[in-house]
Amino acid sequence: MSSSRWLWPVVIVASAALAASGAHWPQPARALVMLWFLAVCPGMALVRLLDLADDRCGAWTFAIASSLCLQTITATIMVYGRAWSPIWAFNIAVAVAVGAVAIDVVRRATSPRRQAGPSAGPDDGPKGSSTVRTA
Amino acid sequence: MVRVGQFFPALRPLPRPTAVETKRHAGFDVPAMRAGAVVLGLAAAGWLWVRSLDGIDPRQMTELGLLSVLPLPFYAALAVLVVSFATAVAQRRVAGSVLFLHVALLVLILHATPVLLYQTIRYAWAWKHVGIVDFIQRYQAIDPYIAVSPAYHNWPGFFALSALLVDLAGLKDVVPIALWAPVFFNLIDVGPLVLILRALTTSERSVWLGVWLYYLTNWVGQDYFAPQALALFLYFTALAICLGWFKPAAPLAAAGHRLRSAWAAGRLARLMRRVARTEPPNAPSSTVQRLGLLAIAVLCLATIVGTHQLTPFMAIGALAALVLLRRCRLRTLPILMVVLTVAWCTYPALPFFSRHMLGSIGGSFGDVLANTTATLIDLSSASEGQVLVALVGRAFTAAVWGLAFLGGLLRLYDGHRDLSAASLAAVPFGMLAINSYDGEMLFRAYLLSLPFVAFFIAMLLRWLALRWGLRVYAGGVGLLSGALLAGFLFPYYGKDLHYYLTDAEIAASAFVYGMAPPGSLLVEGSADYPGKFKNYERFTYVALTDEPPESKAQVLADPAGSLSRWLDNPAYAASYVIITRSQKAGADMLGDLPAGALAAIERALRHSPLFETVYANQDAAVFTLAARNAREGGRR
Repeated sequence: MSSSRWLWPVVIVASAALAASGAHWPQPARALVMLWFLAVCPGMALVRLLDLADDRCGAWTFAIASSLCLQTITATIMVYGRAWSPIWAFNIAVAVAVGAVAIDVVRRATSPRRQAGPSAGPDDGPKGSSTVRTA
Repeated sequence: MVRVGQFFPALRPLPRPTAVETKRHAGFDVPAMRAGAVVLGLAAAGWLWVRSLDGIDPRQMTELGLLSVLPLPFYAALAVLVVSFATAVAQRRVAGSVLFLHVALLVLILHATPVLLYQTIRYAWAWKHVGIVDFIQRYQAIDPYIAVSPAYHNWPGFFALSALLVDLAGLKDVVPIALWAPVFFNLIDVGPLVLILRALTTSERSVWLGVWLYYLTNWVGQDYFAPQALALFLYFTALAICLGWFKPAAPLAAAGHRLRSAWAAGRLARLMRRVARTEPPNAPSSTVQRLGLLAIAVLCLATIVGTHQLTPFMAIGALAALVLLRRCRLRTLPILMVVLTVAWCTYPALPFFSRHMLGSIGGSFGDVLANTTATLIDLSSASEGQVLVALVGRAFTAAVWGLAFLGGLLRLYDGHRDLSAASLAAVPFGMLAINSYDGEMLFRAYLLSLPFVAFFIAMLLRWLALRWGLRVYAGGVGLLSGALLAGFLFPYYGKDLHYYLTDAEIAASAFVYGMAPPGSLLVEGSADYPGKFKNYERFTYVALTDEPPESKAQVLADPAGSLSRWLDNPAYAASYVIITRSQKAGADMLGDLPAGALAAIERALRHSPLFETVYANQDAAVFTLAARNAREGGRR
């Protein structure tokens, strides 16, 4: 992920655009694009703000967890509120994803020398070095 | 601390070989050769697996389920994968990506095989969950007071999510998603499992071995299209955050200082200093990162609360244990979880909580033995094949616990205090004192404790590596994986004779749910069939296998006479009996009815003038009362 400074913003925005424009696509392409976007992209956009770039496993895990939580909570509120609107749920997911990407891009563009991950300045854990991992 | 090596020099760790020794052996580049063998092994296992699926006919299954039809190449694929993993995990330099590929292929082989062979959703309960999604899609709401399956309407998070995904993905129903759910959930669980194990040990080798062992020992099958699978992923994610980023910097040391005069406090402080020494420190993080991670943990816990009845209570126990043992400094997190859970149970879920849950807890509270034995099937009435499957499953579970216990003892003996892992392995079993969870509590506790149980088994094998070197370690990993795999396959695939639901059965159910008028009575041979997946709230369901013994005896003595009286009830708009292949298999195997009873009932109804067959195919038959059908058919 450290080499993908612009990769994920592009992937997330492109996924949102594809998901939004794929209403007339044949199955299973439409379902796969939409499920990919909903299950990964909003969470990945948010997790990128945490600079977990060195922890690929953590980034993917938290991205999927956040995305699923966001969709679950949105859908639960809609069924309890009797305000079922998949379009609104999709709009919320797009807003979260694109909004977080925008913040991420602006942040990285304004601090080009910023290092991602632990070297950004941990104030917890062993100072000056990452946790030593052995084989 | 006394160490094993003091008394047994042979058990001392071997001196590490020099770089030259490692790289060169008789003129060959041994590590490169091993790496090549691992890649070849991975490819060979994948190829064997794909080839093995050709020509398998699940209809030929016997009482040993899928095991009875899987060909030799399938087992060869697993054997090659095990050898390849054992070689890869014992390399001097562990490659996480290679080990991930092994775990991913293991997940595919174990969990995609039924999907590819059956092409239909496996396991009857998954179909009932499809029905809840169907309800939300039709009504765009839930009904907390509904008579059938009310729990799902009181914890609707998973079903609301599924309905949303179906609508947005433009699917007709949730079936394609439910079909692949076991593969999806098992794959996404890899992430939090790696994070949890990395928080427990600095050995990357043991982390991946622990993940591998988790999949080899997770036979309870709660990975299907169900709220538990989503809640489990979120539970593991929340625990991974607590364990990986929120350990106290110096656990209890401060408390020890404050109570220095007290002997107990001194002992406690020394113990906790050891704990701090033997568990890896927090992953390095900034304040912003920790705030973000805390928000994700809270999000996960809040989602669990509205998704599943049991997991919030398990989460409260786990978080409380971590905080009380000073293994997590988020002291307010268990309190927050209690508040969220109580709030959910007393407001959105009050209809179910007050009517069903309180009474259920009150009736079984404190009865650990009854809550434990409620999980186990009655072997005296089960078929021979199922007795074998059940016994292997029980022995396998006991062996897994035994290995983990041994691993824990050896760690203790070597001076480690894996307090987090030990407490999180034990806490889920505390729920056995509260409720049987409809006869499933032991399995659920086993499932939630499994990452930590797998950790201790991985530590047992690490002990081998430290004493006898990596070759013995590779051998141990290979042998143990093979044995665990053999144990896993029996309980996981051994019930597939009735977990496999054919297209013909689905068609019969779809016919009934499409044709029966609202308010109809549906008498089912058992609940073991693709039922309740369409318009489910419109009908009343009676399963013969769930009837009291005297009622069963009456039906068995005179099937046509008894069932005609049941069906001739004017309170119902119409009445049907549905008997399918999987119902017959399940009832015979589990002993819910005498062997062959459902087949005999079906024959009796086919030949009775009282009944009319309204639908029949090779795997299912639907009957109704001939007289009533003629009378009301004319009226309709």
